[in-house]
Amino acid sequence: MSLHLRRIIDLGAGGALYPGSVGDLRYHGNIEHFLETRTSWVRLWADWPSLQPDPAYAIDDPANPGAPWLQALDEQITAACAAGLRVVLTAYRFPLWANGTAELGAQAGTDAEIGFDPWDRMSPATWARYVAAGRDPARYNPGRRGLEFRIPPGGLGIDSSWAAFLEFLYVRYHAGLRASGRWVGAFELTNEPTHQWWPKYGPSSTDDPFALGTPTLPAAFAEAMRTAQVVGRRHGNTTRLLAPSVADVTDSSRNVMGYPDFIAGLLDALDALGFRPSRRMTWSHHNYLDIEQRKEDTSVQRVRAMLAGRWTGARSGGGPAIWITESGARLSNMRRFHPTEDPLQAQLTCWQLAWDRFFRADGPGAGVGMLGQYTLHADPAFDSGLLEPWPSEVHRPSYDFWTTLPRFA
Amino acid sequence: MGSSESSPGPLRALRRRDFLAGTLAAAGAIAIGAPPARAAATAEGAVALSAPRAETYRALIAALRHAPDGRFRHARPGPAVATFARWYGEQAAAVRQHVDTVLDLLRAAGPVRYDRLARPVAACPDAAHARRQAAVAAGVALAAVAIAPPPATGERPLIAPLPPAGPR
Repeated sequence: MSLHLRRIIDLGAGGALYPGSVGDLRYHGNIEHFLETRTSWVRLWADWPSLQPDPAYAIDDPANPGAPWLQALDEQITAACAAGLRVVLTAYRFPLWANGTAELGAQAGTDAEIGFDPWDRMSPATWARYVAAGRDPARYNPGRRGLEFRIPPGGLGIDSSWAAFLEFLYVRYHAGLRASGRWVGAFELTNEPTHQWWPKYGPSSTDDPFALGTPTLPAAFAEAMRTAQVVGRRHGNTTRLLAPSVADVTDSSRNVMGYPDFIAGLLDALDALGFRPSRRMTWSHHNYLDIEQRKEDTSVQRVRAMLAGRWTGARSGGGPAIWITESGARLSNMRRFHPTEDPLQAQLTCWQLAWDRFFRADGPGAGVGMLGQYTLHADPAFDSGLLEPWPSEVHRPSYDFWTTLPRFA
Repeated sequence: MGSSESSPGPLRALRRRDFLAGTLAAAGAIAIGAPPARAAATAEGAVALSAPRAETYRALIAALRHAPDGRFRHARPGPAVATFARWYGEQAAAVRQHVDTVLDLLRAAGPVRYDRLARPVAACPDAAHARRQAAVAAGVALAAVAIAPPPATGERPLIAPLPPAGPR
């Protein structure tokens, strides 16, 4: 059995975006729930646009308009440390001033904004429907990637604004500061870039602008990984770095890149940079479909197989270590994948099987160092919670199961 | 800009029982001072959004139209209420209870105005304040059900923070 299968609960981005909300660790009994479920790690988010809305101010300038968000983040990390929790801090989004979309941001919801690079921000079907509606967002407002997920055109190198943001987080919260009572156990470079970041491909070479071009996301992310390692080494290399945190979707389009294509491209891009990750850098992964579909042949082990012989970062079980920083079993997918079962019982069964598979040193569990659950309270729009939606305190069966599991820090 | 909230002083973790006690007290106050606030049963037996809650939702949508970044510029309160009421009727009891509580808390906090929804808050000095902040965030998420672009299949919606009413 695995001796180090840490459990983490991700409180979602809400605690960073809306201090005081149900995802804010400080409130709503959240810390007590961590203790009750014997969960040793919490995933918190550092939302760059909230923390630094105006580049004229340093993030820790008291006059920074983002100061309330920084105070909220400081206090959540402090509260986690005081409760004996370890923190994964996830860097999230790009301010519009940093990615060249500030002017478009002032036109949010207009055709000018919606029509900006639509092939990189929505599916062709969604775009077609918008066009059929006369490109009138009052008639049809298409779902699309936010401007805050555009990769800065200048890249994510060590001289970039993103590097400065990451360095700010590192200096303020790195693990060498544990005596201060405000530190994190790991920095995660971002969340699911294969879904959220854009563009992922160069221009289509056909008449169809939605057709795939040359993949560009892997090289952009490789540069981010190199930057993160340089930042860490500047400041004592005290803290684990987690990347790339991609989801276990396999198929690729311009709007979502499947993990097999992304990882193959990323490993090539890392080689091209001559980058060798240190043992401080740990491969992170999200695997909802492994859990929900109760897979024995998991995406986690497929990823490890792709990394074998090419990844020099953290190792475990004779191969690459993988930390699953986010996962879960959504009730919507319980109805889809297990239609004959009660959804709450199906969620429980998914977690029971997942624990059995990942809490072992071989097979599906080989190399797995962390297992993640997305949210305590259920989000009605993404319903993987262990509790019913806020403010209910009703335990779902999976919550009670979590309370029975061992705690590893 | 800057926070209009007073400094919270030393961090005070709110314990779950404090929070629950506050929520139940708020629910009691609502029950005394407002029209019946439980889900209304239609003639067919389906569960419908009550009129007071529908009115609160309408006010919420109207307020969000004032977001200075324009993200909700196309929101129309009447159709949004109709869309949301249909969604509400399709939800499990636990989700409807969440909706009921959120809308009741928003109504109990006074007139739903954009500047009050978008006030930056660093920390909440007590359980009641945290409850209100949670209700605001949850309320914006519920508004998004009817007026925000839908997320892609299988993805969670992102409810970005509301920009303050004044220059930021």
